[in-house]
Amino acid sequence: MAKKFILEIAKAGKDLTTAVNKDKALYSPMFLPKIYAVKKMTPDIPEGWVSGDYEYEHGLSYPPMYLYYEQQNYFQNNPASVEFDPERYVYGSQARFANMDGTRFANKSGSLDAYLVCFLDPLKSPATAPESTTHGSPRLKIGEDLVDSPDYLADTDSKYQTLKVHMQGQLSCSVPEWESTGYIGGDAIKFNWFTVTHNLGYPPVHTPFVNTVGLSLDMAYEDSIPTTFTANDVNDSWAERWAYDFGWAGVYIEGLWIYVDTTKYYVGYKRQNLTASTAHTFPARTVKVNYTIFNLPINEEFNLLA
Amino acid sequence: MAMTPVLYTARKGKDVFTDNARFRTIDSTKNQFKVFASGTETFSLNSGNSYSWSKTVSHDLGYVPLALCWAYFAEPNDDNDNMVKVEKFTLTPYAILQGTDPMTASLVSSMERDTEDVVFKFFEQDDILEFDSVNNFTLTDMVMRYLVFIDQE
Repeated sequence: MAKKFILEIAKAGKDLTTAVNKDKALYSPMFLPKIYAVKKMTPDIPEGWVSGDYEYEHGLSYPPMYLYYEQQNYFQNNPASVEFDPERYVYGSQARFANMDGTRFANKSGSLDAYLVCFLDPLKSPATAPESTTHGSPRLKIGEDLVDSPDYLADTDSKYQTLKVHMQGQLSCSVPEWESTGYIGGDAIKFNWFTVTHNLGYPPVHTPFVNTVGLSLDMAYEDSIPTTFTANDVNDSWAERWAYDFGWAGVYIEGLWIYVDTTKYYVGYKRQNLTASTAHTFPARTVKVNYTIFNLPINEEFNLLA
Repeated sequence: MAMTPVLYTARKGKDVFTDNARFRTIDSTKNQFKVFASGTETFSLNSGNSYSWSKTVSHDLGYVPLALCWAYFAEPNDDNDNMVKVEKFTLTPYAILQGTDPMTASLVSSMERDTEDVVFKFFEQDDILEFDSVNNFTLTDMVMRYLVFIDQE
């Protein structure tokens, strides 16, 4: 049996002889997801409609893992709201309308240009595995069978793009107390924006994966939003509240969105008083967001299988 | 001064030194997100499991790792009176509540992550505030695929 080699390289400032696995920049027994394409998709919107379908036929014989992001020129794609200049990008909608099968990615309710980040790694293995591919360029490939196995079985394959971290951290957002009026008083809606500068020159793939709808915090916490909370935790479980609270009729709205543009990572915090004339003081909050910004543009197409 | 060795590889046609770092496919000076645990599971939601199923991945990393999950989902049948499985993958978490007649439960996929475990949850939510009662529905051979990274998000 052929000997399987291992590649391990410690993160900057760590000693490989003492480093645990989380302190390694590369550790080939833990496979690297392989991004083979980024594809721009523009919805086909019939005249008189506000949204349309778009799809991408990926050409693989199986459904691949994916992420996707949407481009927005206005907050929530609403020209009456905050205008973004330059445009910003947001993690795409979840739920059934955007889905992947063995032939295509499809979104049945798109209104915006979107970008699909396509992995070679399968969501479901095909009945007949594809042959391994050639590269025609220097290639680092580590796996059980480098000759006959499909590329997606390799633990490491430099033919494909990896999720390289540009920067990572926790953004602590101090949202100040705000005395709102009802909508008749004219001071019923407020945005606070918090930023991290990445200066990459392109909108990067990022986490957490807060979708276009944003986090409805008043719904998630049933109007008892903690003074301090971590947005990542709410994002994991918010789906459980959405249907349970179907018909939710909160009047003091608080929500959180995440965007990126070519230079910055944004956390947007929106508060809104939906009453007609009842003044309301929104309390101060500390919102923590654990974020990762990858060294990979959202909006730059490529296909490493072409 | 000691040199620090690096490992760079680039996309085909790109130069690891002169082209922008985004074209490097591997770059040992940066952390690359690595998969600690992964798997594919097939499950059903029915009266036998109270329309609820979960997958727990124990990691004991001491911090909350990034996790991703894609799964089959459900949509109304042609008569709009029940929900049926769709053999396509969508990203989780999700909550799917459709206006079928009679009303059916919502299909929910969510996640719990802590310093020891990642739990991927799939269940039907029938205690919806707006409705006195809703019907559950059976889903057989649902498929979910997950990744748990060793890296924090």
